[in-house]
Amino acid sequence: MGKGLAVSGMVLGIVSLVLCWFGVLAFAALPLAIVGLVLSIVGGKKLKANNAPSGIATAGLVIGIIAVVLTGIAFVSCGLCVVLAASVA
Amino acid sequence: MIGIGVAAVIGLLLARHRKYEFFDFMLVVVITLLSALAGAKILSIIVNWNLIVNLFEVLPAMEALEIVIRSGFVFYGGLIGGVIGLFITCKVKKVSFIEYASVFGVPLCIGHAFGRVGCFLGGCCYGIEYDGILSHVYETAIDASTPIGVPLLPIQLIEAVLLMLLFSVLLFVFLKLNNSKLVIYLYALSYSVIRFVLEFFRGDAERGSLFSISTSQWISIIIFSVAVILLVIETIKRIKNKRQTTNVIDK
Repeated sequence: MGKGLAVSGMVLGIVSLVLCWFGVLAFAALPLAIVGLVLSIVGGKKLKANNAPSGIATAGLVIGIIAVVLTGIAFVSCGLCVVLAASVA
Repeated sequence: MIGIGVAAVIGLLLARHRKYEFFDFMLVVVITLLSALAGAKILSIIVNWNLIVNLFEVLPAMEALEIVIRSGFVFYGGLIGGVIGLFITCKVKKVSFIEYASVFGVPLCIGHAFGRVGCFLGGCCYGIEYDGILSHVYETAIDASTPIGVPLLPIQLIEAVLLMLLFSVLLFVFLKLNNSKLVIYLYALSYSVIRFVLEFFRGDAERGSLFSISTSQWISIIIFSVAVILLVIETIKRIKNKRQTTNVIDK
């Protein structure tokens, strides 16, 4: 069960990493990255609780963090700058 | 991004210092950060409500919605959201909220400092007009409302320096005194005072205010008041317990 969750988390992380490069698909990539991250963590907890190797969960966690960071950069900008620019226009 | 990275590394080291289980801690981190993001976004929308309404009048709905989602996060909203998320998570997991809050609070301070440096580099959260030493003139800026070609007070850097000093103190209290409650009280009391004072020197007044006091200043007042009240209640409880213990010993 833990391994299944960890693998699913890793796959979602990889998918979101791919999607974040395709403009408007970054909207879908960020939630996928977050869900993948959570699945990897929960999978890792279950694997550790059963004294099973948690390497795949750690890999999923790392990929998930990278995916969240990259999709965050693609998705979000600092401040209300764009809103203000639009209001000035 | 650099600030987030530094804060994350420090947070993980502090969690290891407290011997927290790795995946357990990461789950708390993710839930807290998501709550913080939601809080930061919600407060940004509240503070900039009039601007956002104007945006929906000027642009097509989907375009306006994309802009609102993509931009605008307020630190205090993130802090409040994060605290609520952490509190609920700790209640569910039946672990000490104060202990976890101190592990989050220390790296948050240094992350915030880096964030302010980022604000300075980007030109947002700018200071009042000022033509003295260390004043800075923006030739370009990410924030469209930043005055271009006007000497400004580098309030972002001033706050970054104060936050780094606060971080040093919090780290000392965490590692050497091992006192989680003191970390929280120090952070709450110090940052609310810092923010309240520095707000008078902010030049981006369009963020919102009530009775000439900005939204962030109101939040600072509330946080400071709550911290003082809790500190007083705790001190009274400690004095009462000490008296009861003394009475028992005397008997």
